[in-house]
Amino acid sequence: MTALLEVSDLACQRGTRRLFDGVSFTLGGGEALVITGPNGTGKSSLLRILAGLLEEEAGEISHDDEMLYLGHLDALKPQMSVMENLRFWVSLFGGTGDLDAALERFGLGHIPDLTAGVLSAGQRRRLTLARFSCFLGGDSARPIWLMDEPDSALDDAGRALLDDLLKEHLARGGVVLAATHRGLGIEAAELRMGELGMGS
Amino acid sequence: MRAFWALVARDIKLAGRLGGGPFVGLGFFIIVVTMVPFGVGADLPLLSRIGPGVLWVAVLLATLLSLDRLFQADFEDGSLDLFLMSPLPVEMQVLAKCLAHWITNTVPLIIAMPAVAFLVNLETGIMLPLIVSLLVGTPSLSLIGALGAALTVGVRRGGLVLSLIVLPLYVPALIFGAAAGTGDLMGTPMLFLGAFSLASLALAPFAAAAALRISVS
Repeated sequence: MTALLEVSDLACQRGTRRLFDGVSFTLGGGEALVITGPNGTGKSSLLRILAGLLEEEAGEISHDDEMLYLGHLDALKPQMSVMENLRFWVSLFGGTGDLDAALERFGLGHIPDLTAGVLSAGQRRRLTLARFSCFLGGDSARPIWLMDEPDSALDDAGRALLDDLLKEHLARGGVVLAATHRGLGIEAAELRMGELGMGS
Repeated sequence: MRAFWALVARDIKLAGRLGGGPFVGLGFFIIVVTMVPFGVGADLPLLSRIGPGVLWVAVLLATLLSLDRLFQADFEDGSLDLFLMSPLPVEMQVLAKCLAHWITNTVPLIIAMPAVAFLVNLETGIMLPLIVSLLVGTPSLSLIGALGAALTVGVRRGGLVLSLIVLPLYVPALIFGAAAGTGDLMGTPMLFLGAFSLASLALAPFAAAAALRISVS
């Protein structure tokens, strides 16, 4: 199997503190990696480095495919409607997915015209997941998904929808990297931060 | 290109839906111009002599007022992270945001300009050169402002720092703009003003994009 994402000897420095070093892994199509570990051990920083938003201190990252990133913040505009938010991000990233179907899938099909400002935290997260579902396949697929606590604020039904989405993405040959505290309902290797002689 | 226009449309839409919309900058512009006769006194020849400069300064300040939100809101809600990862080059995104900023903030000022020009006793003969000088020169205000906004995006209460960075860079636009506003349509000041706008069009997006990449890390 060819590797979609290869990381070797990655190190991260924040201020004077070495968050982690020696992080290496390889992910091929259909494989998922769950990043666990206590707060402050560099889970989010690792994802941000992979996303190209943060400079690595040392190490190599190689990938050919496009990425999608989900951070702590939802990147939703409270002044725009649910549908306008979704349509904007999908068109900025050149997605071709069916927007109505995406909203329907995540239980937002009845409120496309509601302004995003009045959504609950769980609904905001569902809308973000709907964005991911528009990049599942076809020409606009973005195979590498970087997700920082994708299950936060979701109820049980929402978590089940998330697991379904991730399974479908993996079945299509995608890759998932997710930082999480509670674990996800998918088959995944685990990377435990703060244990591999890191820190100090 | 679809992504470029999607971003322009989004920013225009957002500007219209923010509290007060484009009317905040417009109101500020009108008030600044109104203040001048109160301060200078009802000396009509003097007012008409300083009129183009006053209008240019007022446009400049009203533009500055709206600049600190150019990237700030996107930085705070995480949109900026996604912008930096999107297939549309960051330089093009800066251009798109500048275009939207210019359309929503500066164009209303230029449209309102003839209506407030009588406050500074502007001669009707120089109305046209002044409007042309604003159309030619004000894009540089948005572009240079974008650089300042990108540099201060992570700074709390960055608006003041932004003014200190940006205002000195506005000086050439102000000098040539006010001079072009009194001269003939294709005079030297107007050509220099156009050159200044083109130079900022060529340089500012790259500088702003680099500053944004530093700001998110």
